Amino acid sequence: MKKILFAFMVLQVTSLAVFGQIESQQFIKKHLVRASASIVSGYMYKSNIKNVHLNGNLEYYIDNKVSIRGDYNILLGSDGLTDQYMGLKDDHNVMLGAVFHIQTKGYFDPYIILQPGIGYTSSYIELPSTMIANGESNKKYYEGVLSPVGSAGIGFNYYFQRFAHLFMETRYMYGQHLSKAPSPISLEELRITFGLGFNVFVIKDKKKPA
Amino acid sequence: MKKFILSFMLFLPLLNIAQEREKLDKESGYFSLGVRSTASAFSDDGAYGFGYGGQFRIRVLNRVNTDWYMDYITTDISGIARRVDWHIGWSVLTYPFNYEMLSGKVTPYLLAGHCFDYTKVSKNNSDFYLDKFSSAVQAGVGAHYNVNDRMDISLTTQYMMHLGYNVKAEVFEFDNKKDVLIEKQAVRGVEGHLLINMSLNVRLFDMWDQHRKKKQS
Repeated sequence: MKKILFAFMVLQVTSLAVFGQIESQQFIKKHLVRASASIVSGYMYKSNIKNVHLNGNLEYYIDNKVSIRGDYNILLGSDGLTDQYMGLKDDHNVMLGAVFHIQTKGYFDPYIILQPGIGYTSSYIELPSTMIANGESNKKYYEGVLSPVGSAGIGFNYYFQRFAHLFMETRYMYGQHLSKAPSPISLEELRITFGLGFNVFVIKDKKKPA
Repeated sequence: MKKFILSFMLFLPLLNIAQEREKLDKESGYFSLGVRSTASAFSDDGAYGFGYGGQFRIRVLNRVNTDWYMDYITTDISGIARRVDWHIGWSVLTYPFNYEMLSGKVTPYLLAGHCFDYTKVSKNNSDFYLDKFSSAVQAGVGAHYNVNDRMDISLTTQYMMHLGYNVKAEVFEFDNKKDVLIEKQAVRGVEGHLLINMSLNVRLFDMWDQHRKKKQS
């Protein structure tokens, strides 16, 4: 048992030593590709609706400071109604934009993200039982529409391993769901997510001659 | 002597063109692709809209760029009606000052162009709507912020003037209840909206391939 403990400690110290040596250089650079999938928690503060989304994204670093990132979000669940008894059934969006990375000397990669996008949104109205005649369904669904959305956010990646990283991100979403329904729904939302992502350098740097 | 000065003055513009030709292959020929968000303001029904779109750019000369775009804009009209606009068109951008895409620099431009548009104004909680196809002209100013030599963020403000017919929505109150009157009218005078675009663009390749050829020669 002591031997295992000793071996584990040696491994930890060795990894820290390697970490320390590389820490003086920025890990992220041109041609890095990263991808992740995570669960996103969202709150639409104007509509008083709480959402859970599934997010998938793919990012390519075109430069040491800038990358292009595409995101896809699927609404898994939505809870809450607006003042006009409106609720969200669908809120799925595709976004494409740029990420601006703040340079550091290591594995920490803070960033600012700007992404315009388009969403597929649909809604329903759920009137309280006191407002409807007996026997009628109190939920009426309306057909989906395309809703333009825009988002801005901040976050960071931490490249703790050669092919994997941890991330955390928070963003503000802007948009409006305008459909045949009696009243619109504001899509303004604060989203937060964190998780594990994967990364690889698709083009390796040419070795400089000694 | 007078004849010499006169002929020198006549040939001056040609000297300028020759210099421009030498610089020609610096910026021209690039194909860029981008996405954009659009805010629409001061339309005739007084409502603000928000949209999403995309564009590609073909740089034809050092000082002249072309922008080919499509926008999808939705506007809420007092919570009782909605307006949807589709724009597909093109603009010519000209750079009166600096024109080189240098990292960290701002490149201002003037633009003017034309587009085809489709507008649909619908009443909420109803099947009633009116729509129209028409065309429009637009002009404005903007600037690229060159993030690096391959990517820029552009901010443009332009006024789009509709030609032909327009669909108007007028909100009124009757018995303390809001309602909307939607009607189709021929455009009289200047009718349109102010569009503010923010776009992200990436240079993908050189269409004329002149840079590679120059290097080879």
